[in-house]
Amino acid sequence: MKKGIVIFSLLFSFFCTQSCEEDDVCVGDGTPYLTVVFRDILNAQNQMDSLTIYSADNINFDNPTLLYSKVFSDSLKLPLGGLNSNTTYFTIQRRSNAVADTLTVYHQTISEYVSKACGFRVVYEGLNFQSTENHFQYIIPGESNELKNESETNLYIVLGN
Amino acid sequence: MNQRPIYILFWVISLIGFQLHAQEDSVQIETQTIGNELQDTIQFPKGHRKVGNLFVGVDLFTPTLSAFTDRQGGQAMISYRVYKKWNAVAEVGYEKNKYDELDWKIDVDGLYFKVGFNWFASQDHEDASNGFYTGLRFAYAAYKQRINQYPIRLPNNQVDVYSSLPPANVSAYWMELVGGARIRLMANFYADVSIRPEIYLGSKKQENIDPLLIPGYGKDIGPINFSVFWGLTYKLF
Repeated sequence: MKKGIVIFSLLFSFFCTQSCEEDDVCVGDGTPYLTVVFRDILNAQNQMDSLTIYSADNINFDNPTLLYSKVFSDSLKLPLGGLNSNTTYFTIQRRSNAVADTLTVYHQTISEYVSKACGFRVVYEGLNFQSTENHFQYIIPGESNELKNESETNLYIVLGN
Repeated sequence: MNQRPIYILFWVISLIGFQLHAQEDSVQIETQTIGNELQDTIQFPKGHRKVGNLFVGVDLFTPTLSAFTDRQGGQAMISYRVYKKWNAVAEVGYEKNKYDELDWKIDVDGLYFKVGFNWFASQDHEDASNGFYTGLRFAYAAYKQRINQYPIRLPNNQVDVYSSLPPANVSAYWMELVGGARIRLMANFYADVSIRPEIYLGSKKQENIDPLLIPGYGKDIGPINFSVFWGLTYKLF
């Protein structure tokens, strides 16, 4: 009888230790994207256009990443570099123009704890932009030079003709 | 002996719901009161053991696990009968463990302390130290946490792995509900087995990082966890 109780207890305790499932799904705010909005020549309204965008971590565009291929849009989200990077380069090609524009984003990175499942994310401060002006007229940085969520536009690009 | 199934039922009920438990409780107290009165007047047969007051013991579960897992350590306990079926219990343990999941690599080691009580829901009339109990513990762990690797998620949801954070002294506290049984093995040695749903309460964190592994609590996998105590205890008197 005593043996029976001990065995019962051991089985019960094994059942309890085995029955717990781990919650390992990452839900929550990840590293935010840079939000870029394209404006028309008068900076009066948003301008839809067909855009092809590559990104790279070097100005020579070795090993570029294709982000968008002929996407017709007036607002796109661009990923910036990881914790150890401070500059991210993009080439933005309008339609099938031979010459693309290069957008350079300078940033400082900070790691921020999100959750057990997600780990950390990267947030950006001190955003600074520079671009060529082939098919762009000029660029207007957003009000904040921080990127911590995707609620506001970080950069407006005013397109030329 | 035919009361054993009733004891098991009691124990299970006490684990499942306090409301049910409370209802059974009043019946149990009445029978116990009568039992105590009888105990003063009736001569018990030879071989009867009076209830033990002071027990000391060690946990065999963690040392057994040490052979198979990264969890290393041990735990000792002392239990003292304060009043009738109420036993004050104190436990102290040491655990060294590793967490290696979800792209985290964490080492912890430290001490944990648990204080609380056991209330015997049923006792054996041949040996009053045998029986089923429920109880409660308040537990606190003070330990060193070394995060050797933590994941960083990039916008495309890729994990960019970086190491590491300097070691930090952190702490955590939680409650344990206890359901268990104590049965005499031989002489003054008793087996004391309990399972404990653990409810995490809070912690002192390192850089806001929720604890993923706490000595004495286990992997923090949600609001409730389970731990097990396989005790070998010795009755001092």
